[in-house]
Amino acid sequence: MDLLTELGILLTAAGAGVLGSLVGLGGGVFVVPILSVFFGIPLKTAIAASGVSVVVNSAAGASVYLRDGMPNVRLALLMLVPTTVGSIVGGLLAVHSSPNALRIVYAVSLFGMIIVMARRGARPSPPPAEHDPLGLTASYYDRAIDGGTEVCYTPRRLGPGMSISAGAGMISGMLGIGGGAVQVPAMNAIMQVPVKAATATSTFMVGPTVVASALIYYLNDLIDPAVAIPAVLGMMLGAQSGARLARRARGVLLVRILMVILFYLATTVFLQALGINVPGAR
Amino acid sequence: MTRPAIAPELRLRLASGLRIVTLIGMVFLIVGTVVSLVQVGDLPRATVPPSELPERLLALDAPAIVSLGFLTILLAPVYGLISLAYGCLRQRDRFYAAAAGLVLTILVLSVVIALVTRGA
Repeated sequence: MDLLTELGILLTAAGAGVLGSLVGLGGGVFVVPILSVFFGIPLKTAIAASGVSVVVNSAAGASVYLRDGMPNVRLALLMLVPTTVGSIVGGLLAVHSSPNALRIVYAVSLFGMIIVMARRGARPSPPPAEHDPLGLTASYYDRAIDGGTEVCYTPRRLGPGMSISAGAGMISGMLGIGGGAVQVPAMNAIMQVPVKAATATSTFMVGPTVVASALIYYLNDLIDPAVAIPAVLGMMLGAQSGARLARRARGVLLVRILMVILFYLATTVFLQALGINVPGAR
Repeated sequence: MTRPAIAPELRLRLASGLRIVTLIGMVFLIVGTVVSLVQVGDLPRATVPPSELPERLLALDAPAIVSLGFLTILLAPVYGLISLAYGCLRQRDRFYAAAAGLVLTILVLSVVIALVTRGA
């Protein structure tokens, strides 16, 4: 691989990091199909590189959220049990599946994310429960509400939430993405966790979730440093710029543009899986 | 009942720990990249198995330095879980210390499974 290609991967990962941060999906959903389709990098190598990048982004993001007291760490610890199990299963499936099977799963997951993005809307959380045997009730300070207010909530319906979390872990391990696209809406809609707390908790959970599968990638020699290093550096730079841009970006229009990009990538990956040649793709 | 999920000092320690471990990993990646570019003019194409790492690190081998960077980055969340398990134990919060311990055990299991199924 020449230096120009490595520079291209860095710039692509930076772009993916910006886009991913803008819509709260993480860069993996963009970087894996782009590297695979347009750079001709083997899908499993792209997934492994994305997995390592996701761990870096999660650690950097979680440290910021933790300082602000946003993640519900107790809830994260409980949900991490099924999520990491799912991630190991996903990691093993990634290693042992055929590239075309992975392409189909990737395309279907991307289509699912587009639907989630289209239907996304924050649901209000009810007041904290009086009965909370697991001590999951938490609070955080939200500067955006009435010039700043303390938001207190109790996560509910732990069973269904944990089941979905196992599925999110499997998708994450199989595709080298964070899984926030599944976790955040599930925590908000099913467990009635406020979106900001759900996003921060999910960011904290992504690290341990992806590590389970990333170790499997490492020990199966799937991490190619020539792809992973520019991907890690690029995604980290891009995610930080994206987080700053997100404050000024026009949300609805941006989400629609990114949905079109995701649709194009999902369709291209799906057609490749069926053996249909797509112009520009390798 | 309203109470913070974990003690603020544990939360802050966890935040700085995650940042420091990730930064150390990034420094190894950058140093390894520079060494590789100077020695062979390109980035390494494979990671080094953990068993060969100490010997090759002593020889300042670029792929080994890069591999140490990847492994350090992957250790950041593990550090977070160890820190949480220890912090919860100190607060006598045995339930969540056990939950953190269980997640750590699952991560160790992932390494064992990867080693057993490697090349299968």
